[in-house]
Amino acid sequence: MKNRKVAFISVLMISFLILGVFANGQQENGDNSSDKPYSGTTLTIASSQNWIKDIDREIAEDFTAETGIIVDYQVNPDSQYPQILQTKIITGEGTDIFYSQAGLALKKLPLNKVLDLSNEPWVKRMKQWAVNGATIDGRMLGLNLWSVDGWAFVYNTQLFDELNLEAPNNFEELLVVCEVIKNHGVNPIYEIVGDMWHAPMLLNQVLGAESDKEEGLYDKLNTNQKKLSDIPGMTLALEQLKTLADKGYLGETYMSNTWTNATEAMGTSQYAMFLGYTSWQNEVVKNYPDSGAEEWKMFASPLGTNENTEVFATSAGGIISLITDGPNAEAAKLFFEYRTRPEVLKKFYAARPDVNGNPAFTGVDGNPSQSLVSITEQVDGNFKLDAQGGMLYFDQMAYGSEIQGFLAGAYSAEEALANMDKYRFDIGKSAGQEGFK
Amino acid sequence: MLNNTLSKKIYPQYFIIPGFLLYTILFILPSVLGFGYSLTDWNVYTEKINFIGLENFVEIFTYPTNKLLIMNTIKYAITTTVFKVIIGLFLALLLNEGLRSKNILRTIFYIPAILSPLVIGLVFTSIFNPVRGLLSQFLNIIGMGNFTHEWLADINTAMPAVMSVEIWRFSGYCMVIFMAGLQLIPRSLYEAAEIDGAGKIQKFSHITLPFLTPSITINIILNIIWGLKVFDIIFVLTKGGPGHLTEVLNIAVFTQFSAGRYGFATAFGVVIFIFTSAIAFTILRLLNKKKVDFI
Repeated sequence: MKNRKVAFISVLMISFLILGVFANGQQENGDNSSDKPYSGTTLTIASSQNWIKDIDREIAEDFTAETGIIVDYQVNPDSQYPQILQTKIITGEGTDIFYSQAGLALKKLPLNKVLDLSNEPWVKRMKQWAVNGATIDGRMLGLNLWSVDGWAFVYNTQLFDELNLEAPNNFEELLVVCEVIKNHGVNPIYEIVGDMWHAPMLLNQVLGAESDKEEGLYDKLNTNQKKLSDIPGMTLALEQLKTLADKGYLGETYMSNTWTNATEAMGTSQYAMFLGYTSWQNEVVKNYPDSGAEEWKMFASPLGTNENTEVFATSAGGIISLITDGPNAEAAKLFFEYRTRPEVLKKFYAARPDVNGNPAFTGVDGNPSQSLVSITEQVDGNFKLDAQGGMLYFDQMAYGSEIQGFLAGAYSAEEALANMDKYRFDIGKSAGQEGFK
Repeated sequence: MLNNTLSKKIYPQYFIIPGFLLYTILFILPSVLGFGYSLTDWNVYTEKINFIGLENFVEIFTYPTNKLLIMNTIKYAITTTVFKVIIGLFLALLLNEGLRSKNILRTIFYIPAILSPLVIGLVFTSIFNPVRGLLSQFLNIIGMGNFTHEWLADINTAMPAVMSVEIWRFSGYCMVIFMAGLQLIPRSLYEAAEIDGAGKIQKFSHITLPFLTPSITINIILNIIWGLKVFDIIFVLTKGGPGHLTEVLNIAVFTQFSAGRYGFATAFGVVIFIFTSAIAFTILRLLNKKKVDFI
């Protein structure tokens, strides 16, 4: 009798365990009335932590009030977000909506699990560059609420005026500027090699400028007809960066500096220049309103060449949101439709000075920062696609690791580039990409 | 009577089944599948998975950066194990004496072993900051400011810094195992040795060490295994940099998985498994021969 009881309890426990393993965790819909068909549904959205601001959450709350659909933002650390995202999508645990870099970076994701949004009504109001940046193999995959942007050196104009300096147009001029600033007791450039993703942003400009000189460069890189180590500007850029470090122009702690301290470094005038995006100065204004950062300007990075800078490399469209092909896809489409209403877009862009320089939608006035205005003047509006937008398999963390190793003296610039090439080759070979065999 | 005895023995076996099933489904099966996937080109870019034989393993053992990872992993495991065991033994011997504060000290030394590695990594990232970190500030205070470094970014100090964190973290754990071993050594042996005129060093080498062999064996095997499988501490502190100099096999698993090369990442995992098993069994065989049995 006792053995039968024990056996029965064991079978019951095993059954519950198995049910728990295979149970479907999907939220059940509550109110299914026709005006709120998805009320009670929870929409999960994955993003890198710095891409979601208060206005996004405010708009989400308004959406919830109107539709009854709950929006759950799941933010992740910047350095780990790509890996977490990939893992979740591949294992079927992806969120309903997720954020991603636009352009060829999308090819690293399992795009067969993402919805084609080409026929959504709001696509017609999205600017062509935004549509291009979200389109892969003819499928328009994402909603772009960002602005076309690029990475360049934002500089403290007040300090420059005080020292009678002008924005440098080439590397020699940059060295002169750095020396004057250093002698004044200010660190010239705030660089964050420790946060591995940052230093490779310099390569965006290098390849953008190289693509201006050599037609079809990105196509050659993407079919393995050319490698990064074949491009003299790449080796030169790394060596110039090392020169800046060795001369003390990056400060003493450039290997340990972090992104989160960048606004303090520039806002308190400990540093004079920083490689940021065109609206980054607004972050400094927000945290250090007395810094005068709203007047700061930008110049294109002169690394990678000994000539004057003539182009500004910009992204394929910043950050976009995509919808996973899953049970909440229709609710997610409703959310996108809500976010792209003209009044909602105006509210969003008014609160996001970091992305309203050149909004992705027509009918919304842009408010370009002084950085964007000044750099546009510097290159006479000659914008080119940057490395992240034009080249397959650009991995910030992997390339940042190589740049870090090179700057630390572990190996040469050539070896660092060879490692980057191998990284690209291995992925290209795995992907069956033409030329990578 | 025999039937009653038999039924009592059969009774507990029912309770092994759920655990055994779970272990098989959640651990054994994925591990076996992992071996299979390591022989393929499984990746995020294509849906088709092709068998490629030992190609992944050939790349692991021939590409210079990968060979560096293997050496880093072995160096990390051995160095940290040696220091953890020695420091753990020293602390155990010290705290086994009649110190008044020994209970509090035992707790203090053991606490790092139960802290989250993420927390430890973040704290030590701050400590190792070359300007604001505690270590650099301490060196400045004692007049050794010239010795401050970018501890985690200098090619000469990055690996020692990472190892020091691991040693700090688990020396207390080794101490606890040694203390348990010390408690089992009969006091009569020490008394007899004293009567025979044995000094401290003789008592240590002829009584303490031989009887501590099981504890030493456990500590060495556990720490070697942990060292070979390390990921969290290194990832938080240096992410394997600068220049792959602190990169170990599990960081490579993460990197390759992030790159979408799942088959290759799995192959690294298999290599870790083979290394861990081979080294652990070898040490176990060697140290078991030296075991002293209690009378």
